[in-house]
Amino acid sequence: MEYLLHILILIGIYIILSESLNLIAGYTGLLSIAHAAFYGVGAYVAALMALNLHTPFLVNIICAVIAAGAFGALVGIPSLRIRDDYFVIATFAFQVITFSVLNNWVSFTGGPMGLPGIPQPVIFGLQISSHVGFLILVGVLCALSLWVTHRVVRSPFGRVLMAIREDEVFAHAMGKNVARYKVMVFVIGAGIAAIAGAMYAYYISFIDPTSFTVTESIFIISIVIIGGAGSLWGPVVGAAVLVTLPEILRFVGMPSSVAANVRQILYGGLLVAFMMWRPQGFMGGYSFEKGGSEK
Amino acid sequence: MISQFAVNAFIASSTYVLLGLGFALVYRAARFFHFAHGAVFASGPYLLLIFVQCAGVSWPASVVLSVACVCVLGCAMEVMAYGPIRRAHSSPIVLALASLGIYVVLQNVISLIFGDDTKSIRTGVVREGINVLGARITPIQITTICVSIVLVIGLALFLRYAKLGRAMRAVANDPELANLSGIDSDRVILWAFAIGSALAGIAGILVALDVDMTPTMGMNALMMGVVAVIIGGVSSIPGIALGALLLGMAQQFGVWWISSQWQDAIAFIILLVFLLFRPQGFMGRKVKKAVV
Amino acid sequence: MRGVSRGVTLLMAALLLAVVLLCSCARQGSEVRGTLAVRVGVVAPLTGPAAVWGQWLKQGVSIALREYKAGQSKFDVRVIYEDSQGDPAKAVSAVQKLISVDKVQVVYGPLTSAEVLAVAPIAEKAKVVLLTPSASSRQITSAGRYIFRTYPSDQEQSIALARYCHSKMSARAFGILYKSDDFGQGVKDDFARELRRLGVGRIAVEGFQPGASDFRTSIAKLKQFRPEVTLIVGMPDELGTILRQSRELAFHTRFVSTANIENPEVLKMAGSAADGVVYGSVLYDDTSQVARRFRAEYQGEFKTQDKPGLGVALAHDGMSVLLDAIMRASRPTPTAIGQALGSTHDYPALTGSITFDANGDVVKHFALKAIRQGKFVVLSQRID
Repeated sequence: MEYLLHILILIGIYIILSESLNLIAGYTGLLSIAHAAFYGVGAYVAALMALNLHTPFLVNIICAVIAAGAFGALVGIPSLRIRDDYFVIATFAFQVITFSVLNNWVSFTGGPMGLPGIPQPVIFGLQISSHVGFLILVGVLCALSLWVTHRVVRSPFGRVLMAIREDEVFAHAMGKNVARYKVMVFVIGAGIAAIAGAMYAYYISFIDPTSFTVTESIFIISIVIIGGAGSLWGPVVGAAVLVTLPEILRFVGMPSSVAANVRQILYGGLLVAFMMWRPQGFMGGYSFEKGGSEK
Repeated sequence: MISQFAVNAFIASSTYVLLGLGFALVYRAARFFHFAHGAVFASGPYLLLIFVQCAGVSWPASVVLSVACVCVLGCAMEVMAYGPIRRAHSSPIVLALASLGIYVVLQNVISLIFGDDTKSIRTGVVREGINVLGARITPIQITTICVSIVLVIGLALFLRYAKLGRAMRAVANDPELANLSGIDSDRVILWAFAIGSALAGIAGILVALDVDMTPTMGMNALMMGVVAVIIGGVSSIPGIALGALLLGMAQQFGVWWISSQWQDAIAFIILLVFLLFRPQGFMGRKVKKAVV
Repeated sequence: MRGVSRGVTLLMAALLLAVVLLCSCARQGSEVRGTLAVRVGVVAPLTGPAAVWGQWLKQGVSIALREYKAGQSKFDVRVIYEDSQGDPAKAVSAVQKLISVDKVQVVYGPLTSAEVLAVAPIAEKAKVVLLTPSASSRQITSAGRYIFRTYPSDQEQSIALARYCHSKMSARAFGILYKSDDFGQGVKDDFARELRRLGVGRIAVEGFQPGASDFRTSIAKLKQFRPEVTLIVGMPDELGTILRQSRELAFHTRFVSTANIENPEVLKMAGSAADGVVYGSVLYDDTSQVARRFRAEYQGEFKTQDKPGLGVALAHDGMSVLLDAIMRASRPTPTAIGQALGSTHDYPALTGSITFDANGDVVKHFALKAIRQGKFVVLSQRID
C-alpha cells in the first residue's frame, strides 16, 4: 500500500510539472527543454530555506515559486529574439547552465553532495509525515495547478496564447504584445513547476543536481506530448502512463540488469511512435502540425 | 603552456567540426534538429568494437565497415521515421521530438548490449606524446586533426563542385524551387543523412581511440557540434570550422582560468550570447524573423 | 496508420494502469508466508555506470548466502534485489518498495553515499536495519541508529593519506584532481584541510565534472604547478584515463589515490602509466588461507579463472556479518537484528575483523598499497 501511495505521489508531482510545461509548449507552442531547470530551482530554493532559515513550508513554497518565476522570465525573454526552432537549443543551453550552477556552486547548493535532511512540512500546525499525508498534499497542489491551467486557458489571456501558437505574426498584427504574453507564460509555467520541485524536495527529503538534468527535461516534455499537448487532461494521462510503466517492469520479472535500459527504450520508443502515428498524444490536443507558427 | 593549450583546442575542435558539419548538412536539407545524430556518433566506435574484437576483422576493414554501417543507420532513420513524419506534414518540432526519442532508444540499446561502463578499443603501449613546440600530442590526436582538415576541405569541395553537392545546396536554399528544377529532394535528403552520419561515425571512432567510449558520449559531443554550427553559421563550412575552433579555444580558456567543471556552462553561455545577438553566426547571412 | 483514435489509446492507457494496480495488489498478497524467514532487500546499481559494482555485490552476496545456508540457522533468509542505478531517487523508490511490498527486515546496500543518505531517513522511520558495505561519506556516521556500514569513512582515509604524503613522502607542493561529485568533493576537502593543518601552503586544486573524459587541460594546469604529489579522485575509468593522459602529456609527479583505484580497468586503460600510484585501501590480503578458500569458492560458483577483487570481498563481508547477526538474533525482527549487529565483536572477515562502534561505523584501519608493474601490492598494513 505504501508503495502504491509512493507511485501516486510521484504521478502527482509529474502532473504538476507537465501541466505547467503544457502551458508553455502545448498552449503557446514554445517547445522548451528547460523545465527541469525550473523544477530544480523550485526544489533548491525551498530546501535551502527550510534547512538554513527554518521558515515554514508555505513560506518556502511561495519563495520557490517567485524565484522560479523570475528565472522563467529570464528564459522567456530570449524567445522574443530567437527564432522558433533555435529557441529549443536556447532552452537546452539554459538547462545545462542551471545544472552546472547547481552542481558546481558547492558553497551555496552543496554541489554534487546535495542537500540531505530536509525536514517534513508543517502546515498550520499539522506535520505531514506519512505517505497518506503527502498524497493529500500533492493531490491538493495537483488540483490547484490543474485549476490554474484551466483558468488561464479559458481566459482571454489563454486565447492569445493559442493564437500565438497558431500564427505569431497574425497575433502580433492584431495588436497583441506577443512579447509580454510569451514572458508571462514562462513565468507562470516556471512558477508552477517550482511547486512540484518544492514538493519533491520535502517528500524525498534529499535533493541533488542529478534529479534536474536534461534527461529529466526530456522526460517531462515526453509526458506532455504523449499525454496530449494543448489538452487539459493530457498531462494527467501522460504522467500516469509514463510513471507507472517502468514500475511494471519491476514486477514482471524482467531481469534487473536490463530493466533500466528497457524502460528508457520504452520511453523513447513511445515518443517516436506517437510522433509517427499520433502526434496529438493520448488526449488529442495540439499536434504541432505545419501551418502553425513554424513557417 | 600556450602551445599545449592550442594543441588541446585543435584536438577538441576537430571533433566538433565533424559533428557540426554532419548536423548542419541534415538541418539544411531536411530542416529539423536531428538530435539522434549524437547516437550515430556513439554507434561508430561500438560497431568498430564488434568488428575488431568480436568478428576478428582486420582494423582497416573494420573501420570501413563501421562507417558504412553508420551511414546505413542514419539513412534508416530517415527512411523509417523522419521521411514518413515529414510527408505527413508535421512540423520540425515533431521531427525534433521524434529525433530525441530515437536518440534515447539508440543510446539505451548500446547500453543494453555493451554496458554503461567505459570501453576501450585502443591497443598499444601508453607512452609520452610527441613533443611539439613544448606541447605533447599523441599519434592518434595528430590523426584526428589531419582527418578533420581533409574531410572539411573535401566536403567544401564536394558541395561546391559535385553535382550531388550542388543539388544539396539547392535543396537547402529552396526546396520547392529545387524540386521544380528536377532535383529529387527526398533523395538529396537521404544523401545528406548518409554523408552526415559517415562524418559522425568517423568522429566517434577518432574520439574513442583517444579517450575511450561510453554509450552516453553522444549527446554532449553533439551539443558542442551544434554550438559550433550556431557560432559559425549553419550555411557556411568555413564558418562552422571557425566556430568549432573558437569553441575549442574558449573552452580551453575557461578551463585554464576558471575550472574544467564549468566547461559545459561556458560553451552554452557562448551559445546563448550568439543566439541572442548574432544567430546567423559569424559567417551566416542574416535571416530576419517575420515582423509585420 | 495515422490518427489512431483517441478512444483506443485511452483504453490502452486504462488497461495499463489496471495491470499495474493488479500487480501491486497481487504482489502484496503473496508475501504472507514464511514467518520465520528473514527477508533481506538488496539495493545496488545493477545497471547504469556503476553496474560493475552491482555485479560484484551479487557475487559476494551469493557466496555469503551459500555459506550461511550450509551452516545451522533457525532463520530462513530470502534475498530480494532492486536496482537503484546508483541514483538516490531510485534508491528511495527501491527501498520504499522493499519495505512496504516485500516487507524486508533488513536492507543491504545501497553502495554510494548519496543513496545511503537519501534512504537512511526512510529506514530509520520504518525501523528497518540498513547495512552498506561500501558507502564512505563522513555524513553516514550520524545517519541513524539503524544504519550500519562495514566500510570505513572517507574522512579517515583522506586524513591518513595526507599525513602519509606529508611525513613519509616529504612533499611540500601538492596537486589535487578530483571528480566533483559527493565522493570526490568529500575526499578533496578532507585531504586539503589536513594538509593545510600540517602547514602545507602549496596546493593546486582542479575539479572535473562527472562524465568528463578529457582531462588534458586540467593536467596541463597542474603540470605547470609542478606538484611533487598529486591526489587523483574519481571512478576507476576516470582514474585510468587521467593516468594515461598524464603520461601522454609528460606530467611527472607521484600519484596518490583512494581505494577504488584498485580495479583491473585502471590497469587496462593506463598500462604502465599506472605504475607507482600509492593509495589507501581496506586490506584484503588475498594470500591468506581464508582468502584462498574464498577464491576457490568464487571460481567454482562462477566458473571463472578470475580472482575475486576487493569489491566482491567487501560485498561478501558485509553480507556475511549481517547474516551472522541474523543468526544470533533472538527474533527475526529488525530491532533484534540491529542489536545483534551492534554487538558484533571481532567478526572475522576477508577484509579484516569487524567491530562496530556506537554509530554503526566499522572500526577499521586503512592499509597502504601501491601499483607496481601491473600488480596491486601492499606497502604497509597501516597508513599511519
